[in-house]
Amino acid sequence: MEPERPRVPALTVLTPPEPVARSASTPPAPDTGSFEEVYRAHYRRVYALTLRMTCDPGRAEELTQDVFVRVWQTLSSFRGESQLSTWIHTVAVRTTLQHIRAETRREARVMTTDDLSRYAAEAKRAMPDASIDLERAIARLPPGARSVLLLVDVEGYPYEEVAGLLGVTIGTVKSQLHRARRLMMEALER
Amino acid sequence: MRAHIPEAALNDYADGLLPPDQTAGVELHLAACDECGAYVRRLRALSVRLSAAPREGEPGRDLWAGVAARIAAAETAEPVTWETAGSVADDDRESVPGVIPLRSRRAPAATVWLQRAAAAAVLFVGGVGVGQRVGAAPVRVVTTPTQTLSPLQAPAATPTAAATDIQRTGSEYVRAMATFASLSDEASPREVAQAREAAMSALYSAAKALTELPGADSSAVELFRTVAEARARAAGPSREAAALGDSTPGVRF
Repeated sequence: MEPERPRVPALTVLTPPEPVARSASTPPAPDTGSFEEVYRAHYRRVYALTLRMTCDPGRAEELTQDVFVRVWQTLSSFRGESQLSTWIHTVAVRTTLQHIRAETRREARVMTTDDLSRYAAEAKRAMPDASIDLERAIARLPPGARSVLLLVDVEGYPYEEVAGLLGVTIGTVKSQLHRARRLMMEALER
Repeated sequence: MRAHIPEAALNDYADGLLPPDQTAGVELHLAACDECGAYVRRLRALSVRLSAAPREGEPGRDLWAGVAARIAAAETAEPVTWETAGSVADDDRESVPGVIPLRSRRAPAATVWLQRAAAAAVLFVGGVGVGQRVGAAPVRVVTTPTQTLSPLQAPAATPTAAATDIQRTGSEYVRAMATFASLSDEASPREVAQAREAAMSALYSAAKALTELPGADSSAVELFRTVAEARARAAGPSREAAALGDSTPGVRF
C-alpha cells in the first residue's frame, strides 16, 4: 500500500502542533512553566536514586534529566492510579536500570579507588545527612546486588515489584538481596 | 555438628516473612544458637541503617535548564500535524506523543522511518524563531555561537539507523537555530553567520543522505531541493550581513 507522501510545508505550517490535532484522545501537553514545578518538587528524590544506583555523579545528572524528559513525554499516560511522586520514581528506576543494563553490555565497569573516593565525596555533598561508611559500602556492591538492595531496603519497593522491574523471579531478588546484605555487613563491620 | 538456619530463612525471619510454624522453628533454634542469633541482630541493625538513609540529594548544579532545552528540542523536532492527521485518529494506537500517526499500519517499516525523518527534516526550513517558542517561557540553550552540529556519522549500518541519524540532525538543527536566535544580541554577527553556515551544511548533508536511503521516494528529493534552495539563499544574505557587521537575527532560510 502506497504510504502517504508528506508534503513539504511553507513557513506558516511551522507553528507547534496543537496536541489535540494529533489525536482526539491526547490531552493538552503541559506547558514547561508548570512542568518546572513538577521538576522542582521531585528532582531531589530522582537524583538520590540515580546517584546511588550509578555511583557516578556525571551520569546521575544526565539520568536525572533523562527521567524528567521521559516524564514530560509520557505525562499524558499518567492516570492518577498512584501518587505522581510514586509514578515519577518508577520512571526513574526504569530509566536508570535501562542505562545500567546498556552500560553492562558495553563494558564491565570496575570501580577504582579514585572512583569510590569521588563518589563518596559527592554523596556527602549531595546528601549531608548520609553515613559515608554506608554509602561507600553500597557503592562497592556488585551492580545487580546494589540495585536490589537500594530498591528493597532503601526505597522500600516490595519484592514483586522489584522482580517486575528487573525482569527476574522473586527468588532471584531475594537471593541477590541476601547476598547484598551479607556483603554490606562484612564491609561495615571490618 | 549442629545445623544452622539457612541464610535465606534467617533473612526471611528478620523481615517477618516466615509462616508461623517456621517462625517458631527458627526461634527455637535461636534460643540456643549464638551465631544465628547474632546474624539476625546484625541483619536488623543493617535494616535500620538502610531505611534511615536519606532519600533526597541535591545535584551540584541546576539541571532544569538542560531538561527544558531537551524538551524544547524534542517538541520542535516533532512531526508537523499534517492536514491528514485528524483523519487518522482512529488508526492511531500510539500513545507516545510525537509519533506520526501511520496512515496505514501496513506501511513497510523503512518507509515509515523515511516519513518520520522527512517530517523532522522539513521543520528546520523555518529557521530562526521556531526554537524561541517553548510553552510559557522562552528557553535559553546554553551553547556558544561557534558550536557546530556534529556531522552525520558515516555510514550508518542500516537504513533505519541512517534515518535516525537524519532525524536527530533535524532536531539538533532546530536547537542550534534556537541558540543562534538567543545569542544574536551578544555574539559577533560573523561568528553567528559562520555557525549558521556550518549548521546549514550539516542539514544539507542530511537531506541529501535522505535521498540516498533505500526506499527514498520523490518526497525525499523534493525535501532535498527545498533545503538546497534554502542553503543557496542563506549563503547570500549571511555573507552580506557579516560584511556589513550587522546582526542577522531575522534571517529566514
